[in-house]
Amino acid sequence: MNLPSALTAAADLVGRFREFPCGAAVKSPEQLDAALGCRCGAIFILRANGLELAPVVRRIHQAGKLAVVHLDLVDGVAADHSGVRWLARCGADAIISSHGQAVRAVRAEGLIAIQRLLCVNRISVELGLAAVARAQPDIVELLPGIILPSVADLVLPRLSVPLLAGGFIRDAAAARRVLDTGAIAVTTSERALWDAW
Amino acid sequence: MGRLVTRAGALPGLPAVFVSARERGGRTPAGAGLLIHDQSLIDLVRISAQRDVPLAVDLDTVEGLAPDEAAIAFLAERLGVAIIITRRPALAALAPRFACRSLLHVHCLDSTGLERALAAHPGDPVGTALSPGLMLAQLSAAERRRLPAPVVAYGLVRGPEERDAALAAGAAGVVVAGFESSILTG
Repeated sequence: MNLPSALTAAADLVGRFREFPCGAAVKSPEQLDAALGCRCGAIFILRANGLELAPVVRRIHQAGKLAVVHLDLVDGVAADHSGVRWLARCGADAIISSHGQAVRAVRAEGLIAIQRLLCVNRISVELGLAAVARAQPDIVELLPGIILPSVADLVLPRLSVPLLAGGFIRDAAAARRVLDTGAIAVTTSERALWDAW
Repeated sequence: MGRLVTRAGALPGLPAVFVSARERGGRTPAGAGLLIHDQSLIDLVRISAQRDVPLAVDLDTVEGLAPDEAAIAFLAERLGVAIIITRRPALAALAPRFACRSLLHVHCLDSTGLERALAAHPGDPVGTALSPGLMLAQLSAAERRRLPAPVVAYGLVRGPEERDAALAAGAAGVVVAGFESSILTG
């Protein structure tokens, strides 16, 4: 386990969000090309071949950005400890998952661990928060992020780590509402939000 | 969790309100139905036997109930369930054969997930239970038109304003958390 480096890396990612509170979520090579030149300090890879990820991560690093990989969504890689080790070997800076066990594996590998909190209903929020408490990620991402202002009272008092908001954040006004509520950044595939708002 | 508030006539033949069976000891208001979720199979049968009201069941959250045709038949024919909610498109498509209304449970967490869920939706006569219910008012008009009706906003709707927003966005019904009378009456 390499916790000090993970803490430093997490501080780096949070620092980038403080400079510009948006992560570029990409699902295609075209989106990746656009994201490489944007203002975001981190690129979130939601769709890709996880087995061929190293060149993608290299391009992201060459652009001066951090690579955040979604373990549950990329193809070819299982959401288990070996899958996490593979993504670490590909150079990923941070890994996202909804699964607490995978999040613990990410931490054990010394990468930044981001746990998704899926807000479907009250019970899912409660179970998700309990899972976060057990897994102790560096950062939590709440989905759908657009509803954060409506569920902040349920979520924020129970979190002790920085919060991202992703999902259906499509314009600057929505992003500002979410940030004003307490998120440190939004993650979005809306290119218009990747540069200025 | 809550009760289902519906617009008059939006779910033909069904009551305007469904009360959650998770609220132990809570009475069912006159004219209301019962929404059963996150219970064991034994509790589901016990609760349904004790209440002489229309029933809705979130099938996927009932521990001990297999997601198959036998479960649909049991709910519809033995327990007289009026509405079955499930995330499984094939199961949702089965329910109407048993004279039971069904709603595909669509988790609306991001645009990609919504697209995938709608691509698998069986369509009419299967309706849509959209979760979290708060999201219905956040979708664009074009996205809402793509949701097979009737649409029920299900989950995390906690106040009259959120309920009204869902209804204004076209919900046939809204599952509302809690038993506060202000939620029911607005």
